[in-house]
Amino acid sequence: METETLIIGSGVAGSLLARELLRKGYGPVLMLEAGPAFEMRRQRSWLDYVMTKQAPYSHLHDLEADFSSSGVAPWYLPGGRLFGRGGSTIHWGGWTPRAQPEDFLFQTNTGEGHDWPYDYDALEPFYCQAEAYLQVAGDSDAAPARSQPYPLPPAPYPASLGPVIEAIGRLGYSSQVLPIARNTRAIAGQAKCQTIGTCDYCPIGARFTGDQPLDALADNPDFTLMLDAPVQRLLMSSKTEVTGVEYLDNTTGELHTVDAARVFLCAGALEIPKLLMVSTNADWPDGIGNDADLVGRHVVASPFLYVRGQADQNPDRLQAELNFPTLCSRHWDTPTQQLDSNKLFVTANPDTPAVDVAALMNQGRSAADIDAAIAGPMAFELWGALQEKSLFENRVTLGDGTTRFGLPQTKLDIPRQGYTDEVKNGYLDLMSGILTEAGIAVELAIGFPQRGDHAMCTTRMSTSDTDGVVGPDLRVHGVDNLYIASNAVMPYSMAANPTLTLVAVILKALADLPER
Amino acid sequence: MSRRQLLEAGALVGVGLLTWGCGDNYSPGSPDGGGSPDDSDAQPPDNLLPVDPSATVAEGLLAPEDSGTLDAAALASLWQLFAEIGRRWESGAMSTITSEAALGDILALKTMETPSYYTEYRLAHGVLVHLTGEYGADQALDMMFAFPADAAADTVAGHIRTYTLAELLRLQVAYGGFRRFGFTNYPGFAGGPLDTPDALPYQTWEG
Repeated sequence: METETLIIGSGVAGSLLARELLRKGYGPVLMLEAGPAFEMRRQRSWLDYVMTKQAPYSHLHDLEADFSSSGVAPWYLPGGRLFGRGGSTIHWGGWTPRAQPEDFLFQTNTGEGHDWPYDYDALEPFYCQAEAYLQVAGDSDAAPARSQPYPLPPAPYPASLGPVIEAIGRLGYSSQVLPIARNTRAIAGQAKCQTIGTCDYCPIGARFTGDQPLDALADNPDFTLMLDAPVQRLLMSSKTEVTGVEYLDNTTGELHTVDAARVFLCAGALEIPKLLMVSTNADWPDGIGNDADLVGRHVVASPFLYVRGQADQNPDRLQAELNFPTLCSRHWDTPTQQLDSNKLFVTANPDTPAVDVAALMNQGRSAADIDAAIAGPMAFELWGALQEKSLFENRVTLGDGTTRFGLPQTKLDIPRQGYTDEVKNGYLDLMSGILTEAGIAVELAIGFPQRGDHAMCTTRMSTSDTDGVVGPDLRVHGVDNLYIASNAVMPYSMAANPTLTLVAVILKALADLPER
Repeated sequence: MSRRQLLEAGALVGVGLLTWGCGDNYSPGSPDGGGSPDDSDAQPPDNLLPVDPSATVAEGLLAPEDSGTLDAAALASLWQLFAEIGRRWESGAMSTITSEAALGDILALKTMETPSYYTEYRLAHGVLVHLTGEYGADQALDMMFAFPADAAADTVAGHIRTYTLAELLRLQVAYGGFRRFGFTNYPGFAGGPLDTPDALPYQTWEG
C-alpha cells in the first residue's frame, strides 16, 4: 500500500492536518488510527448517558495494566486520554484559553527551561484561526491581547457562580470568561448549543469534537481513515528519509506496510516518543530524532488541584444549570508567578452546586425531603491547573508489553517534581480562601494524581537539534519528511490547556507550506 | 450456562415474596396520566421470567443481545411505573413525556438496540403484573418502589431497581420533572439556545 501523505492518529491534530494538506494538494492522505470506531451523536448512547450518568466512551481509556509509573509523583493514566476515532477531544471539556505571552519566553524570563522559537505575537494570527476552527466562545475584551474578536460570544455566567465571582472580587483577584469550544451560535455547519447539559456526550454536536472534521472528510476520495491500525514502527531508507510505516491490523492480527512520501505523527505526547524509540535503525540507534536524548524527555502535564467545600444552606436554591464552565481566573497565570514559582489557572466545577434529584428519589427520599436538600447544605468545588516545570529527568519510555490497542505499554519515570509542595499548598490555600470568602466551609483541598490529560513537551520544538526534536515547521530535526503535530512539540509547559495552542502551532507551520 | 439458562433457573429459586416495603403505609391513588392496565387485563409476559422479587437471577443486564419491541401490556406497565414517579414526587405535571406512546418511543431505543433492555423491562412488567394480581395495583406499586436502592444485584428486585426504576427516575427528572424543584434547567433537558439573551434557558448571575 502507498500514499502521498500518511497521518498517524485521528485526533484534533491529525484531522486538521488532513484537511489542510488535502486543500494544499498533498493528497491522497491515509490516516491510521490505533483505536476503534466510536459513534458520536448516537441517540441511544446519549439516552444511556442521561439515564445512567455513565459516559459511553470509558472503554476507550487507558487501563491500569497499560502503564507503569515511578518516582516522586507517579502518574495514573486511566481517564486522561482516549483511543478511538476522533481522539481525546471526544471527551475533552473544550477549554480553549490562549497561552500567555510570557509562556513563550520561559528561559529568557527565568534563566531556566526553554524558550519557544517564536513569540506570542507571531502566533497570535493563528490563534484567531484556531479559535474559528474550534468554534470558540469567549470574551473578546479579556487578556491576552488579540487582533480579532472571538468567533462566538460567551454564555453569560450562571447564577450558581455568583457567590464565587463576588468573593473573587472582594479579595481583589481578577476573573474572566473561560474561552470554550461551545457553539453559542450555529457555526461551521454545526448545531448551536441547546444547553442540554450533557456536554461530555453532546447529542447534537454543539461542542467541537475530533470526529467532526473526519465526518467532513468522509466523502473526499483522496482521504482514507483506517481504524484499529496501530503503527508498530517507522521505516527509513536513510538517516534523513522515512519511507513509511509498518502497522498491525488489529482485526486480523496481520502486519502491513504503507509507503508514503511524508509522515505526520499526531498520536499524542505519550505515544509519539514511544514510536520514535521503537523505530531504531543503524542511523538512529536510540530511536529516530533521539541523538540528543530528548525524545520522551521533559514529559509534563498540569497537575490538578481540587478544593471542595460546603455552605450551611442554599436559600436561593442555586443549582448548576449550564453544566459547562464559564468562569476562570488567570490572576496567578502572569509573569510574576512565572518568575517566582509556578503559574496557576483556576476555574469552577460547572457541575457544582448540584443536588442529584433522581439519586435522592432512588434512595426513597420524598419530594419534601428533596426540597429540603436543595435549600440545605450546598457543595461547591474549585479546580486549579498548575504549571509544572518541564524537567529533563522526567521521561516517558517503552513499557514491556502491549496494550489491547496493539500499542506498546507506557512507562513513566518521574524522579523530580516540577513544583514544590509549598507552592501547591500555597495555591490550595488561595483557592480555599476564595471559598471561605464565599461563605463555603472548605472540606477538602488536595492535588490529584497526574492523569496526563495535557501531557506535553516530549518531542519539544526548537531551532536547534541540540535542544529539541522538531523545528518550528514541525519537521523532525535531521529527517526530511517526518513531522510531529502534537502537544509533544510544546517547548515548555503552561498553566492553560494546550489544545488551542496546538491547533495554532499547526496552522502556523502549515502557513509556510506551499500549495501544489 | 447462558444468561437465559440462568434466568430460567432463577425462576425456580424462591417463591416467597420478600416483605420489604410491605410495611409502608403509603397508599397512593391512581397514577396521573393513566394508561395503567386494569388488573383483570394483566397478562403474564413470559413464563421464563421470575416474578418473585427475591428470586435469584444473573448479575448484569439480562440478555442484552435479545432486542425487541415491548408489547402493549409491557409498555403499559412501564408507563404505570413512570407515571407513578410523577405522582409520587409531584413532578408528573412538569414532565415533557406526557403519554404512554411518547415513553414508548424513548424506551424503544433501549429495547431495539443492543445492549437491549428488552428482557429487563419484561422482568419489571412481569413482577408488576404478579404483585398487582396478588395485592392490587396500589400496593404493588408501593412494593416495587420500596425495593431498596442497594438490593442485591443478583435478585429480581435488584435488577428492577437498577435497570428500570433508577433509570426511569433519571428520565423523569431530566425530561422536565426537575422543574418541580424550582430549577430552570437540568442535565439532559434541552433548555434552549443561548442566542436569545432575554430568554436564556438557565438562571444567570446578574452581577
